[in-house]
Amino acid sequence: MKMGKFKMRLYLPAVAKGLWVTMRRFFSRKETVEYPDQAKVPRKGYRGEHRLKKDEQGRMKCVACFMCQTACPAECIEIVAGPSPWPDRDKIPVTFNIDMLKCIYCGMCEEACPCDAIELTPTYNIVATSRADKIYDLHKLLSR
Amino acid sequence: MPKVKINGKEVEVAPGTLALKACLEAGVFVPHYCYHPGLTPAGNCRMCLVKVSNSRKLEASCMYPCTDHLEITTEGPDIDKARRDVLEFLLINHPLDCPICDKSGECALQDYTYTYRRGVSRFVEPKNIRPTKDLGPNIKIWGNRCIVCTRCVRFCEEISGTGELCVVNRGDHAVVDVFPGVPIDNPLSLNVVDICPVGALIDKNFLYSARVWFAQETKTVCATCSRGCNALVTSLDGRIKRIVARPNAAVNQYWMCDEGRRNFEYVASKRRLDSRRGTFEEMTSAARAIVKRYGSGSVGGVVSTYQTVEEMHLFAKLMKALEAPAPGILTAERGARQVFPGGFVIEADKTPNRAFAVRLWGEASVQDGLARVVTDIDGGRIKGLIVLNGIPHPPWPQAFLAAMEKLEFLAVIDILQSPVSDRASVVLPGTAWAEKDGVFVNVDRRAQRIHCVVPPPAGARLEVDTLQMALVALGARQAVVSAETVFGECAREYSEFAGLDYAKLGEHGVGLPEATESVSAAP
Repeated sequence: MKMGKFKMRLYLPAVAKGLWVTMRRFFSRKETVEYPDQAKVPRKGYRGEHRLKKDEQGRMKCVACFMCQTACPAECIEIVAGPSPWPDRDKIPVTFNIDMLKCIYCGMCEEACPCDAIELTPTYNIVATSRADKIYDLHKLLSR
Repeated sequence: MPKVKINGKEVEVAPGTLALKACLEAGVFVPHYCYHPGLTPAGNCRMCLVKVSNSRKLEASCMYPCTDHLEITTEGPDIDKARRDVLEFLLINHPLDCPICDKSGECALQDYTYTYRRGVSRFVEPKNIRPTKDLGPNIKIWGNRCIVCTRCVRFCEEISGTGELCVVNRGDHAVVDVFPGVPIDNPLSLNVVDICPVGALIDKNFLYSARVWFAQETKTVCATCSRGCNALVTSLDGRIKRIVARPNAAVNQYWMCDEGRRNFEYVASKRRLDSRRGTFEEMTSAARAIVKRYGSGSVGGVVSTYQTVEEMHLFAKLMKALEAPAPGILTAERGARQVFPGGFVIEADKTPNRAFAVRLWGEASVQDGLARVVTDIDGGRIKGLIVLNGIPHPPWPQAFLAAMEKLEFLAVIDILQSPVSDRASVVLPGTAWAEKDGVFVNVDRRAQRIHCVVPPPAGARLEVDTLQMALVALGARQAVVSAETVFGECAREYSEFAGLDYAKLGEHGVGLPEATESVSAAP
């Protein structure tokens, strides 16, 4: 018992054990990537930058129902609706702004959308040089 | 008085009361579409089915008169099933397009669909397509959403007396429509949008402009005529989006006129005065200098009947402190008093607080308008003038505009830029009716509260504050207090307000007794 306590106070067995764990890592598969020299491939279902989808005729799918804005817990979506130029729907968004600085990338907007019009893409490197650039408008969201 | 039992609870009702009304008054909710308390019952939606002791089958409670010892049961598995089946029939052709429907969030069909768990349709055949079209300058119909409850048709027959709407086609093709070439454009037309239980009839001015669950709703009083209809204002991000009627049996029943509903554009107008020219100190010192030089009665006033009780009270005090004669009263009479078959009235005076101006300065003075002020200016008796106006586009008499040139000093507290504000040396931006708290006295001498709905423009200041600051500067007042405290002062000063405060006025206002003391006579 006394000897055991002494061994523990030496710390040597613990240090050796720790080094063994570290040494083993030299020969196993790498968990990290050399970012930014090497791009990381996000897992499936990764929630990154948003985009608005288009239908087969190239028109935006969004019908300005405000469900994403309603579901958004961060209150980062701002929509203004207007009448639609197409006969198959009543309204479309005139403005559609997402404040990427407020967004928490929870994906609730995508889940709430009844038209499958909004999507979170795997793009994670969302870079901007000003605050204004971080507010994505309708044009930017549609061109992603 | 017949005694009925509603879900085992005994209540007394007036003879002939319909079962649905008895239930609603007893606080027992029964779902319904076609029944509206302001209209004759139609009994066509079948949603209000209840069990009554006199009948073996379920009865539509909106058509079933209460008799003595009637027992009404509103909940139960068989009643629940009947209502679910009725809903299933209604939803056969009704699209579940709630996300893009403007009624979503305040739709009876949506609410009951959630309550009775009818989100899935068993109907596999294609749905009927009915047209989406304009019914008039303000109203559009989505035929697919119509459940043919005929509330709107009955409204046009019974309340507005115009009868533009009718039901066309038969069976499940039936839909509400107008007669060819006769659009619905009566002065009460937008009430049909209010009473539509689904999203079929939509106000074109409100279309797509807000989702109701994001908007704030404020109970207030319409300022568009001296009737003072109770109103509910929907606002979003500091902008008014629409005004709808709020029931008050003593004033407007359930209705409101189209003009009142649209009378808010000026609140966010580009012509709003939003920067001060001069200050209230300049106003008071200039007015005092004129009184000193020319003697009492040389400073006059003009006050509009758009001002609240508190503002008029303070303005009267200001006039007294400046030894001024009774002010000119600016009203906005337009057209004739309109009485509709349903008993709804639109008054000729398009200002909300004429009754209190009559109380303060006398009927003769209000009738006289600005005429005496104009003669006094022309005669050189009035050298300085203080104008307090809240009327959006006031009918300034030409003679008044001409007389203004003779003034040495003109101060204006107003909301919109006008020929009068252009000529003033002191301009103090005021607040519109939707930006302040106060009390209006309507044509039937009913005192009703108005509430602040949206914030005023940056440079504007509440009139009660401006007037009080001027009074403090003149040494006629101790301190600046809130509108509520000023109303407390009015309650002490004017016998008809005795014992009243904002809390006691409540949501529906209080009818005022006759004033006991005599009206201060115009000098």
